[in-house]
Amino acid sequence: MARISGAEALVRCLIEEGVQCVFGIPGDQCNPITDAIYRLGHEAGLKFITTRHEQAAAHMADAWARVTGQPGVCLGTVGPGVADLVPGVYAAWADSIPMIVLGAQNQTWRCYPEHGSMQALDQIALMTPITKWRALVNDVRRMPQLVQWAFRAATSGRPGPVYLDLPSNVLCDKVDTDEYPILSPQQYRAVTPPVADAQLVEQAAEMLVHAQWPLLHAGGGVLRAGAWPEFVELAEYLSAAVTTSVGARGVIPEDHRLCLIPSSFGALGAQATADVVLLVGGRMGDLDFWGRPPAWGEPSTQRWIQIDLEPQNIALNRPVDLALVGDAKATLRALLAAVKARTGPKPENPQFQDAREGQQAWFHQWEEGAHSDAVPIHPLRLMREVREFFPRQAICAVDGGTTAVWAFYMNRIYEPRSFLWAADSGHLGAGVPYAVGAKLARPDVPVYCITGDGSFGFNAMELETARREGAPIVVIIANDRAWGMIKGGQKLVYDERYIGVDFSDARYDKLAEALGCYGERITEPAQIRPALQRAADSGLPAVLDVIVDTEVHLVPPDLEVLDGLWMEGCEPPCPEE
Amino acid sequence: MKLGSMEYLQEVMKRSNADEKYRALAKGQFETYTLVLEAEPDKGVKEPVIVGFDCRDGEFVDIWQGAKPTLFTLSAPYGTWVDVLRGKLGATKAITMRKLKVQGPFLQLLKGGERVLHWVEILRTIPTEFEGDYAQYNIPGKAQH
Repeated sequence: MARISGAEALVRCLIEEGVQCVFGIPGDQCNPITDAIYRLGHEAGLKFITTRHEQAAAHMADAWARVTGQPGVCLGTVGPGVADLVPGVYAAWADSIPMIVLGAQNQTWRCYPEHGSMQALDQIALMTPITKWRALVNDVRRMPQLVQWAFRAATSGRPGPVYLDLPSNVLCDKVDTDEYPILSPQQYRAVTPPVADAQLVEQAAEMLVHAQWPLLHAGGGVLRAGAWPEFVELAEYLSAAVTTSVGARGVIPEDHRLCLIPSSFGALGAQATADVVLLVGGRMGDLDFWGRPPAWGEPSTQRWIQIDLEPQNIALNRPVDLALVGDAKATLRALLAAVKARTGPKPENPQFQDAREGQQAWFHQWEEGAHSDAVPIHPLRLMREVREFFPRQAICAVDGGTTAVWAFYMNRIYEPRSFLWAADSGHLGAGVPYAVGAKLARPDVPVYCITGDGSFGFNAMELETARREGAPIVVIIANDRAWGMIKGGQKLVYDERYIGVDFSDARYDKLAEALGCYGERITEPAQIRPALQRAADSGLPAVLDVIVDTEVHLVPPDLEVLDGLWMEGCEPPCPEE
Repeated sequence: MKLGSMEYLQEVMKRSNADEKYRALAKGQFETYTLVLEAEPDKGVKEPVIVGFDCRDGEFVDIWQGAKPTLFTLSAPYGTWVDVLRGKLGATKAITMRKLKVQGPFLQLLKGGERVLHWVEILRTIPTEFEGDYAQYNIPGKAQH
């Protein structure tokens, strides 16, 4: 009979799942967990990474999942520790990222309902809106089963974060693992993803084969399912135009002949005129213009096929003509076979040339700024220099408001799972911890983070984590000394009545140096490339604090469109002139 | 010049044809447009204003008032056009948010999207008088160089 503690049972389950990193901050109540990692982790390749804020721990676990496809794991101690995880869990939940969130809890006889314990909190309730499943492990005998259940819930169906509430006495109690065994993943969760109904796959193939001007649109589900090879192969076989949601960038290299950059003139034109659209793993939210005309065709004339693992996502925002419920990878593989059985590779529709010209016209708008020698630095010049410096396979985390928009224009994405952005939450502060988490997961790949100065401030202390853990990321701050996007909105819509949006001039390069990292302030465009080289050569986490032209930076060209999407139906309550 | 008057349309044609950047951006495009400025009686705009023009290879060759069959029809309430011309509403937002409705080959319109944005910039330089309540937003315009 093998009797081990609840904490050890938990950690042995993590090891069975191949978990390599648990991100978090230790605490008295979760010391049994970190101690079990100390005792068991080294041999099994499992580490505990201490962060400087639990929010950052959750973001790092999120990044781990985004770049590896495996669930990330984070830990917070009872009360404030779990509460501080919330912002990071929210960002993962919004983007359907599989994550195991562990929270220590007070002893079972002190909680639910609590009656005066310090740091007491109904953590299950707190996590309810931002996790897809959650459980209180109220007895050590349930530990293996509930941890395994957590992994099953996080990874099956539409993935997402799950939460386990772990009372400290349960972590210390002993469980007999002969009776309550630590299983291997194939014993408790499906390893073969579900494929859509075969007849519907045939119908979809028929529609695509007969399409004159087909378009394939990828949502984040393509990345989660690892379905990009099948997605791109199908597009190439059909010579279909390919667009992605912003969060799914990287499904196809953005210089691929079939790729049209999200929201570019070419993409919007193709989306509006295609006769058949295949949507895979996406919900058509506001950044996809809700799937509505004029950014997309009229439902009466444009036929839609949708593949999604989650039935609730079918036709969520846009009516469809054919719905296939199934895993993106398995279903696309079946669809590809069905298409190939019907036809040889299809020629490109002549309209594709118009779409490419539209894309070129869109690109052309950025050329002047991208090559500007002006001082202060034009944001597009900064983005071009950064993108050209790093290799194609580099992982890029983007953070900020207007900074993220400027990055969008010039910072092309070429590889799957190499673009980290809190797309559906728009969560500021994710960038630096995303970069650290990604670098720890993929130490062989250069990782850089483009961030605004406001967003950098949320988790700047994680530079110390990066230094301590040997994660030499390069952070590029587009410094406009403001909450730029909000200030831009106040400029555009509120006639420059600025309130609550300005910072003083802080030396983020010096902050980096103080934390043992490399730092440099940049004020002229010609300094950017050499500084990037020095940052990379330093072998340290690095911060390049780049002073950008505030007047330009505040209002990127599409800010007005984004503002229109987000504030649709709202007229500003301000007097007309 | 009253928005939509023949005098105004003549000025549009003159300024557009004199603008080298516009001519370069619109080169290769052969398009006819109808612009419908819908009436807003409660704002003092009693009748719709309908105008059209023919642009060939970057050059305006014809302008007219009233409806004729054209490749594109762009329609919106009068006030939306006023907002676009005043710079309170960008053309891209107006189109994508459906404040300004487009009929015609959308991809063709977008493939030269830059010319449309630049053309709006040209319109904003023309001294323009608006109807009804919108008269308070008249555009002083800029002299043509």
